[in-house]
Amino acid sequence: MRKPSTVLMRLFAVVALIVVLFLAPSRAMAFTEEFDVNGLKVILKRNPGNEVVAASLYIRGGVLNLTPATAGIEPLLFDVAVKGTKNYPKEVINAELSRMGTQINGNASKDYSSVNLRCIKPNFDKSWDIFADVLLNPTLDPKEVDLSRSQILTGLRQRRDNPDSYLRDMGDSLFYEGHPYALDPSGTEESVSKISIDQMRQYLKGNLVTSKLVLVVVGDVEEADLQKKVTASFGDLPVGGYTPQFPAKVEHANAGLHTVAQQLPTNYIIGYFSAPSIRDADYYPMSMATSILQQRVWEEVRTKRNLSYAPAAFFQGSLANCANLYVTAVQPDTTIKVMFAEVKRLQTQPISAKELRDKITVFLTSYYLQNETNAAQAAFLARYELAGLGWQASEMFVQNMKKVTSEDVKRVAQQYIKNIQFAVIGDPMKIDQKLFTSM
Amino acid sequence: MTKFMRWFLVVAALWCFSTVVFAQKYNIYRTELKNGLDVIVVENPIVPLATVEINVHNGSFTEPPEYNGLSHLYEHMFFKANEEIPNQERFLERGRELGMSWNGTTSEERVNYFFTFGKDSLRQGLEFMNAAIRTPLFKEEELVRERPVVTGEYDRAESNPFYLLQVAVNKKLWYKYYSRKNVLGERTTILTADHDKMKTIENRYYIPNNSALLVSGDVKHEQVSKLAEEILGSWPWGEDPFVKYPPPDHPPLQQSEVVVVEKPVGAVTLDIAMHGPSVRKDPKATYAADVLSYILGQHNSKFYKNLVDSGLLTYVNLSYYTLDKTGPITIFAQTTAEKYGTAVKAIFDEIKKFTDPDYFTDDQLESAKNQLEINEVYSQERPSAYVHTVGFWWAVAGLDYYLNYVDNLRKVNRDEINYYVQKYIQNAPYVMGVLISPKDRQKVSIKEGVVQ
Repeated sequence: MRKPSTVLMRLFAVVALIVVLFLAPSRAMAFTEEFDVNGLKVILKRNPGNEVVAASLYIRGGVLNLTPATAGIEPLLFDVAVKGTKNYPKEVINAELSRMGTQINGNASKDYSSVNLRCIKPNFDKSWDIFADVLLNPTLDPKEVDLSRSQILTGLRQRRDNPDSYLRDMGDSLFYEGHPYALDPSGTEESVSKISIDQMRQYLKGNLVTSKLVLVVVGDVEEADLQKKVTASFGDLPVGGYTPQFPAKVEHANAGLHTVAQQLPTNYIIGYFSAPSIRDADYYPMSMATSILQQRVWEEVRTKRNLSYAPAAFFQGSLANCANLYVTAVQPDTTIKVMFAEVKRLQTQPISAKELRDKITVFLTSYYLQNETNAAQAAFLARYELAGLGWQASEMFVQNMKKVTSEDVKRVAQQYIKNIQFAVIGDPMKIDQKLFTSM
Repeated sequence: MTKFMRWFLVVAALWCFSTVVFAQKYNIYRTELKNGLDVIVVENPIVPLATVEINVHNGSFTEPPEYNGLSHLYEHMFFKANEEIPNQERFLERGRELGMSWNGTTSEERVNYFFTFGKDSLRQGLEFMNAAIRTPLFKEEELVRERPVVTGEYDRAESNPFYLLQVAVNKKLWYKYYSRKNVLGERTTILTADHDKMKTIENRYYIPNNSALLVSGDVKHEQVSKLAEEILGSWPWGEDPFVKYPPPDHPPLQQSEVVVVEKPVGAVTLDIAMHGPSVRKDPKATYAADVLSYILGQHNSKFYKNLVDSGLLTYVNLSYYTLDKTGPITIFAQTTAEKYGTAVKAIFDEIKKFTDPDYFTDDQLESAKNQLEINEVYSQERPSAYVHTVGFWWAVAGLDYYLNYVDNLRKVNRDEINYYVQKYIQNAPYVMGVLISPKDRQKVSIKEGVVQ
């Protein structure tokens, strides 16, 4: 006869196995928690797997917080803020960050801006202290502002040096014309050269209100410890009365083309078309459709016809979303015809069950690849939270992709891939305008 | 003892004798198969993926002019027909069936190929890699079709002014054996490449004792070693290519030179390059090189303050690229046409001070070491990318160099830094490339050619 304890242990093991198997898909959720500090939403994903701690404080609103005159204020402000604070003068902050290998930097996108911290766990206390001081008490020394400004202006002047970055700027301008997202968060030479220290202080005062902020931390951090830190650093910030705003969709009634003549060995081509945002149920099928299009243009343009090294279809992720066709080609007309034929095929012929199944498997791999680092996991959680869906929605990514059907893919391809806005850098004589504006 | 147990012990014994565990650090496990294939496993279960990568000790350093670019073309041909996969279309389809994210890269001293997929597909992924690495067919029609794809890569590179600057500098810096540093190679070589040349590369370099299998992710090293032996253990050993075809050493620069590249760019860019140490000949200098680069990169360093905080440059970085056949030291800087002359003088004035006893503090020296060590922690976060790093070090310097890297950095002292600076920077000729717009060129005086 078995001992009761052995039976119990086996029973426990079986139950544990069942629990693990059934709860495995939501493993990440089990480690993620949220709490509130004076209106500031804090999301903590406890990850005891490594030594790195990633923290990002997000300011909602993105370019909706900007005007043409203040575009570029965030990159300038964040750059200067790391060059000296009330409690950490320049020499001290430089020495401390170097000593600890801690990274603090700012990011400004069309959807949101953020200040990001990456450090190792033994340095988290000191790194947090500096991170908070950068946000709350930047010195904004005029000399440092001028220095940062000149560095940023040099970068802006170089945006046309590389055809790819120039092409993206052209495409953005064409696609978002008349939309709030026409503003570039990096700013322009004109705006950045005039932004004042007062404007930077006003930006901080107006945006550092807890109703507008989201803090995401991923790492081996205890909730009580983080709560204490957040309360001490941000507990006294005003709550404000921010209500999340989301940009309108971009819709074009006609196709468009903007060509810039430049003597290059090849032609750089990008096409923009509207795409559903993460807030839209079509986000997942359109994400799948674009990925299938990517695979097909690669095979047709590169593998079978050898017309280009770099044909692609991209699905962007902004809240006024778009997707792209992209290629560099010495025979642009021939190449675009092949790409359009692939779009037509996607719009008219259902994809096979096998192709769909394989693609979902590929998505699963890329989902995990995007979540390898703590910083990437923080960004993934934040993306859903900032879109107004709650970070918990991020846990449904895989399930949502698995629900996509062949019919969905065909439908969204028809619905969204139209009125493409093309930007081209290269030889205008090689561009058939009628062809490029035919879809 | 049951029959099963006896069988188990025999299999276990065979397996133990076929591989030997040589190293284990940072969750990195290395074994060597009997055929000479290094098997390196990086265990990191952060996500349920596995990355399988093959590194081959190949690249432009093995290429005389008539082969220049063919390591790279070979890399493209890897993803095409082999004895188990009839063509590239089927190759891509099989990749999708496994949920694969894949790619390959070619550099001076290594070529790597990598697949990432769900951890449960490890065996299938290894089998897929095995067929591709051991049995490529180099079908003539696929080779012909790939040529314009590769030249399309040239077109893109040559559309980038910074690439043109790098080419201009490298042609002067590696004046005798430029092909050995020209990874993309020559168009004419690509356009005339044939099956026989591909086979020559395969037979010469694609042998297990010139390769390493790396597997990272949610895997166990015992499981990987076993599968590696089963799947790749029969890959036949080959003659060491570096005995029969040793790549030449790059002769020292004889003189300093300035080259100018004019393109419509928005800033004046300086690329000042010198011959640095070869890692297998002077490893100590490579540790000193990395530490010095991190000292100078600190915003409190005299180098940064005098050049960037002063407003002379908007950006400056000194780096050393570790290689076996002379790694380059590069000072990359940006300024304006108005400040060009003063900025160039200031850079060379700073170089003269590198060996001054008070040029950097003890704290800055320690901070540089901390940063390098912590960067290692950051890079280990992404198992799918970290495996490329480990593979790079295996190819260029040997895995032991990497496993002892942080310990050796910690030992670097001022004398070693001074030795490195004096030998490779202060007393060495250089090539200075200047990328400037035609409009700005009118405003400044730049003497092209040999520096007197």
